[in-house]
This record gives sequence, structure tokens and C-alpha cells, in this order.
Amino acid sequence: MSQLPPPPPPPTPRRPRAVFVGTPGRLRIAGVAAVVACLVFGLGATGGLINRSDAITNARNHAAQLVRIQDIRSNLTQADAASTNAFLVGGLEPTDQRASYDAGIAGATAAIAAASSGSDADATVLAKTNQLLAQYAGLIESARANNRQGFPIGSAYLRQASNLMRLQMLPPLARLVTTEQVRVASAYNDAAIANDALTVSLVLAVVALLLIQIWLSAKTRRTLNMGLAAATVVVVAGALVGELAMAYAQHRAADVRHGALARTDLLATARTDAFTAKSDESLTLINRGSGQAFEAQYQRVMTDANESLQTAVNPELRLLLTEYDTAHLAVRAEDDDGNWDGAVNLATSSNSTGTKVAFTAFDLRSRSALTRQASQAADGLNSSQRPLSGVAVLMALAGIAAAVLAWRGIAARLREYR
Amino acid sequence: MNARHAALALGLGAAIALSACTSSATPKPTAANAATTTTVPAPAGSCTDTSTNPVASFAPNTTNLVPGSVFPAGSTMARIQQRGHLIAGVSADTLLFGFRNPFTGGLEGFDIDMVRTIAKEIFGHANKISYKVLTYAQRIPALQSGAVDIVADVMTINCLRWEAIDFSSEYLQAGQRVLVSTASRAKGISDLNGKRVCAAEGSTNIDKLKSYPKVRTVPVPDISDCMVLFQQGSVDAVTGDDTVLAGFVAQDPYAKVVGAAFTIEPYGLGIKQHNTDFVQYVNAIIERMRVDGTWAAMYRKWLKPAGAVPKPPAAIYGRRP
Repeated sequence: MSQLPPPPPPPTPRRPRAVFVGTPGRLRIAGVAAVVACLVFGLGATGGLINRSDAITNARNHAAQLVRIQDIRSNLTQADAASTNAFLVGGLEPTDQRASYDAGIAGATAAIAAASSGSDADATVLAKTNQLLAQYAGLIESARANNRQGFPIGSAYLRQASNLMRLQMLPPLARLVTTEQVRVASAYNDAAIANDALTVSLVLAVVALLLIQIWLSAKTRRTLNMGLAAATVVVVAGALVGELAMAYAQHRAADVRHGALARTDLLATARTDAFTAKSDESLTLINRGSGQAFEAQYQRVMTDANESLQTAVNPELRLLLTEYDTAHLAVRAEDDDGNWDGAVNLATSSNSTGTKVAFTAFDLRSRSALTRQASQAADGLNSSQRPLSGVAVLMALAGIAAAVLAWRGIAARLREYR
Repeated sequence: MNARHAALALGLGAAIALSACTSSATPKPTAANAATTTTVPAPAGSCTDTSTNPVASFAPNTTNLVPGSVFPAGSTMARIQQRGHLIAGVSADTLLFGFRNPFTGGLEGFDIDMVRTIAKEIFGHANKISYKVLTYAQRIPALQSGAVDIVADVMTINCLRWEAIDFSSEYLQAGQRVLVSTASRAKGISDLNGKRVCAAEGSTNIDKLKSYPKVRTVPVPDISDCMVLFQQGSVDAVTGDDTVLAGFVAQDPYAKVVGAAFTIEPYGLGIKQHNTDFVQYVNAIIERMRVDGTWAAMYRKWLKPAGAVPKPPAAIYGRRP
């Protein structure tokens, strides 16, 4: 605010005692006080709006980072689901599974690069993830190379790769998701606090202006000082505009947070859980009869996925997930019945009652829903923040205008003492 | 190629005196042996019954091998038959014995053929089997809980395991050796002091390593994990049965098996304790396999496609239920 033009200075600074002595002196003090009150308002209101704008920018950045990290997780689990399922098929790897694996790895690599440049705080974890991803891909290639030669040791490589993903890669990313969720929430809190600056500066300015007017009307026996009254009106009107702009931005941002952003987060979590479930299904079968731990995890992550979709109010995806779950039940029934080959066939073939078809349907629909929600969230946060900087300038102008008006009002009274 | 390595590794043959068996089955009770792996109910250490020969099983009962015979009601075999399939605990990554054929996805190997022969005898169809893939450490608990009817997974018969489960008669004999890189100059386990040697948890192999305290033991859940660590350079050697190591050499041209066998591992099929009727039935089937050429055909198929097939290990009976 230092660049704002200073209020008209008291006329003779060399003789301060004379300037502030007597009634004209007191008038000058009142004038300075009114100018200061108006400028304080301008300063506070502008600061409040800039703060709000910054906080929303911050929230938007953390939300974008959250989406990127969720993207890494779902891509990683997609790759793992594809490689474990391909392994189950035996023989030559099906091209669609290979394509899904490649897409998962490529997507994860891109998302890691984007997320690393998006946040310095997350860079350490992401660098480690990147390093482990290279290791993971190496293990999968070893599994594949052994598999192609008919060497059963390929399954040991696959097991190691899957363990690496589950035990070392995914947990730090899950923690990072929580961290980003907290950062988004605290950015929203900062935005709410910004409101207080505007309110406090409004109250201070209006109270000061009113007190000066009361004193002035008692002193000069005139009911209304036009300049001070106009300054008060400008301050109140400016504050009103500021409050409206803030309320609008907050409302939009809150809408995004509880709407598109929350749904983006939930859909991404549901997709990660669903891919994990699909891997678990394959691993249960690969471990032939000793995969109870994987089936238990399947049940856990499917419950989580269902809850996420319920919270996201997405009945269509819930239905698709339930259809997959029903197909999975059939796989388990076959396997538990001793018909392992039948179970594998249901889990890998393009049989319309199998899990592969049902899961692909969920994958495609959830992917497009996620993309839609993520872009809605980004757009929403952008548009909620956009008007704030303009209004911030307006607040500064309102402060200056009120200061000028107030000084002019006092100056008119001062002239009567010449 | 695969099988030639296997044949080399299996060179031990069956002509080893039975008196030697006790040396592996009951290792010297040292301080190290007292601290056995926790995953398995006491695989090493001392066992109470030292008078019975560990490889001695229950006498075969051929009654139900007669075509058209019906299993007695309430017998273990009748229960299995009623269920519709035999539940067998096997390995899925032990080449030559129990492994998943990556091309077909099916399980194959010597041990798989053992249970297939039994299933064929019970049901008339060799594929009426539900396989449960087990790690070494899971074998005994799976039998004890009744999760599997039988375990066919390169399992060594010893006195201590007899306290937890029953065994069929011996159907194959192996010995513990070490696998090292072709670049290694080690000529046996005694050259591996200070080196990282990998072994599977819950195996007789890892127990035996305790008598080599200078070797740095690296335990893993599954012996094929050892091979991954070996190929990644994280361990210097892998120790296991020569039969199993032969399967690894066949999958890795830069690995070799060195040194003489330093234990004797008589393989038996594991069966739940007190299912004596089933042990006797299985023993009758194995006895027939020994004489009718089934065993020799399996040996030729999996372990030695060329040259003379050794005689199967002689069955020892006389254990009392």
C-alpha cells in the first residue's frame, strides 16, 4: 500500500504546534484520523482479498497434486493387475493385457514426472517411487523372459514384483494422498480466515468515521458532514462488494471441494482399490489354494471401493463394481469347488460371465467419470478465484476514494477558520 | 538339457546304506539346533522316538487295490472319494517336481505324477485333484489342520516330522548340496564361510546350515525366491536338495551345483497323523509303482531321459500306529 498517493499533507509542517493547536488543530487531527481509517480499510480489504485469492490458488495447487498422486496410484495398480492376470493366462501374453500394462507404466511415469514438478515437498517420496518403478518393471521383464522360456522361476519374479508394489511403492503414496488431502483442507481454512481481515477493517473504519462525525457535529453544530458521510458510504459499499466477491469465491470453492474435487478423490481411490482387487483375484488363483490372504485383501479393498463410490453418489459405477464382484464370486466358487481350471478360465477369458469383461466395463466407465470430475474440479477452482484480484484492486481504490472524500469534508470546515 | 543336469545332480542313486539316513534325520543336537525356525513345529533338534528307523512307514494294505473293491465306510479314502477330489499340497515352482508349466498353466512334475497316480487309483481319473500350492513351512500345518489330504513336495522324512505328521514309504532320495555361480571357485559348502547362502524357511536345508555357523544364512519363504536373489546378485549361493537345485541349473546357464551331498534327504508323501489307513493304502500304491515300471517311467520322464534308471529306494515298513 505504500505506493498509494499520500493524503493531502497538513499545510505547514515546519510549525507543528501551531498546526494542531486550537479548534482548527483538532479539526486537522480529526481529518488525519479519518484519512487513516479509510486507508486502513483499503489496506485490510485488499489484503483480505489477496489472501483469499492466494489461499484458493494454494488449494487448487494441492488439489491438482492430489489428483496427480491418485493418478500414479491407479496407474501402478492397473499395471500390476494386468501383469498378474496375464501371468495367470499362461503361454503367450495376451496383447490387450500387455497393452494395459504398458499404459499403466507409461501413465504412472508421466504422473510421477508431473507430480514431482508440482510439489517440492513430495519430491523425495516421488523420486523413491520412480526408482522402485524401474525396479518393478525390471522384475516384471525378468518374469516375462523366464515365462517365455517356460521357466517356472518366472513366478518367483512376479511374486517379488507384486510384493515390491504392495509393500514398498503403494504405502508411501497412500500417505502422500492423506498429506495432500490435509494440505487442501488447510488451504481452505486459510481462505476462510481471509474473510476476517475484511470484516475487521470494515468495522474499524466505520466506527472511526462515525465517532469523528459525532464529535464534528457536536463541535460545529451541523448534523451532517457530506465528505465524511460519503466516505462512510464508500467504505460500506466497498466492503459489501468485497464480502460478496469473497462469498461468491468461497461458495464456488466449497462447491468444488465438496463436489467435483471430492468425487475426483473418491473415484481415484475407488479405481486404485478396484485394480488392487483384480490383482488379488489373480494372485489368489496363482497361489492355488494358498491365496487366502489375497482373497481377504480382495474383500477389504472391495468394501473400501464400494464405500468410496457410495460417498461419491455414483450408482452407475457401484452397479458395475457389483457386477464384477458377482463374477468374482463365481470364480471363487469354481476354485473352492476344486475346479481351478474353470476358475482361471472365468478370470482370464473374454467369456461374458467372466470377471475380465465385467472389470473392463468398470475400468472404462470409471476412467471417463474420473477424467470428467478432475477437469470440473480444476475449472471450478480457477473460476472461483478469477474475480478476486480485480475486486482487490477495487478495495484499494475504495479506500483511497474514501480517504479523499473524508479529507475534503474536514477541509470544508477548516476553511471556515481562515 | 534340463534333464541332463537333473541326472547329474541326482547321481546319488538309491544304493546308500540306511544307517546313514539317521545322520540327516537327526542332526547333532547343538546349541544352534535348539534355536529352530519358528514357522515350523520343530523341524530340527532331538525327537523322542530314536528307536524307530525314520524312513520306516506303516505296512501297505493292498485290499483296496483290487479292481471293483469298495472303500470301507468311514475310512479316509471313502471320505476323499465322497468329496469328489483329492486335495494335494504341492509346489508350483520346483522345476521337475511340482511346477506350473508357463505354456499351459497346468501343474507338472515328479511329485505331481505321484499324486495323479493316487487320484487315478481312488477315482479312476488322474485329474480329480484340487491342488494347494504350499511353501515349505506351510506343509506340516496344512496337513495338521486337514487343509490337504496329502503333501507331495520334495519333503524329507525325518524322525522329528513324524511327531507331527505321518509319511508314506520313501519314494525318492536326494541330498543337500549348494548352487553357486559358474564363475565361483567354491567347491562345496565348506568354501562358503562368510558368504551369503540362501535357503528356504521351514526346510531341512536351513536347519542343516546351522552346523555351518560361519555361513551367512539368508532365509526366504520359498526356495525359488533364493534363485531370484541369486540371479540379482543378492546372495552368493543357494542351498537345497540336489533334485531341486538341478531344476534351477536348468533355468540358469550361469549357475552350477558343486560339492558332494552333505545330507541324505529321503522323500516321503506327507499324510495327516492318525490317517493310518490312508498311509497304508498309499504305500500299497507306491509299492506297486516300484515293481510295475510306473516309478521307472516317471524317473525317466522327469529326471533322467537317457541311460539306466536306478532302482527305486527300497521300502522300509514296521512302524506301529
